Amino acid sequence: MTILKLRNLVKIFGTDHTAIKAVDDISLDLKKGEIILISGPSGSGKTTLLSMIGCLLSPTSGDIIIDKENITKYPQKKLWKIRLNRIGFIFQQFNLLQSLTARENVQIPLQLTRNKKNYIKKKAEELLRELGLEKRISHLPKELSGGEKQRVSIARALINKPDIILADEPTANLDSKSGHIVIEMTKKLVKKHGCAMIMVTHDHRIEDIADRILFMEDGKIWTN
Amino acid sequence: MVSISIKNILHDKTRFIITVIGTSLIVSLILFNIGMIIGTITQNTRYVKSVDADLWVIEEDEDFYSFSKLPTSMIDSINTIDDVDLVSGLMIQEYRLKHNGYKSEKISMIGYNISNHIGGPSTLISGKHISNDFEIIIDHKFAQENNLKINNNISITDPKTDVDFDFWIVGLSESRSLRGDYGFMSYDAAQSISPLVNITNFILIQTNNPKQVRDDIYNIINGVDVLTTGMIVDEITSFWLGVMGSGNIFMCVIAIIIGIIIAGITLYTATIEKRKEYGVLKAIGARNRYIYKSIIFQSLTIMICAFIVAILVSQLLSLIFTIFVSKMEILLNLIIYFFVFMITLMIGILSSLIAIKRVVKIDPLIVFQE
Repeated sequence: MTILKLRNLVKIFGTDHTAIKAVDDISLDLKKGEIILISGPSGSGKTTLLSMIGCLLSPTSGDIIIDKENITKYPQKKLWKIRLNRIGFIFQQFNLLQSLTARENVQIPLQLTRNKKNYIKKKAEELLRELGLEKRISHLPKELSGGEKQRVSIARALINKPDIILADEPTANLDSKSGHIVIEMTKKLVKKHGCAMIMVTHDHRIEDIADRILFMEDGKIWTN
Repeated sequence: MVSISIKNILHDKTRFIITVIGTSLIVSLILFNIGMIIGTITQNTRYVKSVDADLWVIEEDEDFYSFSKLPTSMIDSINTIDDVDLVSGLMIQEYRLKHNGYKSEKISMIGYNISNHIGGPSTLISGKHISNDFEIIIDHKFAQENNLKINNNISITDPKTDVDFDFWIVGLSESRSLRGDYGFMSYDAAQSISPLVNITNFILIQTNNPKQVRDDIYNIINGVDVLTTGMIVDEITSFWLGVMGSGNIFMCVIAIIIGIIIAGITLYTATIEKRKEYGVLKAIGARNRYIYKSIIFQSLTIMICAFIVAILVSQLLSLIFTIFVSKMEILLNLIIYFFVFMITLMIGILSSLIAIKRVVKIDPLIVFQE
């Protein structure tokens, strides 16, 4: 089942002679449970593509269809709901809230959907346990290692049971061992939770987890 | 949202404590200023409010604090008006009390009709009420400051004849005001030592039909104003608002502005520092409304903490102030606290606006920046 369809997606920054085509006519299908890895040099348009799929940036033209719902023309006011319920983000910088513990960070998306306190807590702890962080539940981000922070970030991305996980260089700030653990756990959880994942990375060591590998250059996508 | 907001402001405890202390001093200043205005008005209207009269007759265009002079014969004229139940003269003259060769500070001695007690002291701290023309009651703080006690024999010099009249202090009252202290004596005694012959300062009337009596007095007597107790209270209130109100209100406005700036800077700085975190919240699906609420909640938490500290500080300030400026009364009651609490919340909401304006501009794409 196709969960995400991109059709002739274009993103142009600037106008007239200053215009830069960051994403150039990309079409792509992502199936449920599939992991797509996109690699490419810096400035090739990977993050721009991820931002558009994540409803953080509007495309200049083309369509983004998530589970038969064309969200391309949605106003910002409607897109927050898509981001909250259908998309999970994993960032290179982890982007955890420094004043919150691991569990509280994971809880945020569920709190935004007004679930019951006990359910939120239980769900967050369950995910952290699955990611091997049961002893780090009450720790602040500054007390966690890079790998642990990224695992907290993964739990946060998964807690709302999104359709699509978008990961931006998730292993870039990790040593090879931590990177490997994080990627293995991510793959396991993505398959278990039945969501799809698009991962942007330079890290060739993690290519084996992908169902498909795409290469991006000058805003265009090539299949390896 | 509550836990995120609380954790956010407590994340930098030093900044939180400094902001709470700063804003609590501002709120204390507001409380103290309002307490001073209300206290002064309450203190200075206390006596008039306690007088059991429906109407006050005073010389035309004069007021409670000016030197109203009315002929004593007017008391009899007013007594002839229908619907007048009771008429009494009231004298207020300033004197110094002599005791053991020592002359006290000036005190305004109120001469009232001791047979019907209209215009007499409302609160006795100790002693008894006056029962004859040789007994007086003085304010208890005045007595303390001038080393006078119940049963002390004092004398007052009649300015007309230079003859000393002797009196016994029989009671101590609660009758201090910012304009001076009040003492009480019989109306006849006040008449006999007054420098003015056959002159009374005020005429007090009890009636069930004040409107009619008022009209009747205006019809038969010229050169007087007939005021209700409420009108006199309003006059005194206006007087004190004129004397200190504008200054105190100006101080309050300045304090409110400084409060908004202090809390505003703190929230703004915290927002700038955490702009990426706000970006993350937006990226993962938090609506702007959620983030505004979080900032307002942080601001209100600071202000509520500041208000609690301010209650203690203002109580301490008013205690210290009344020790050093004993003629002033600072009134801090529940209504004033509630009113200032509302002002405090308003400061909180206004101070969060700058931070909110900044948050609106945060682009969630910031999450992809290193």
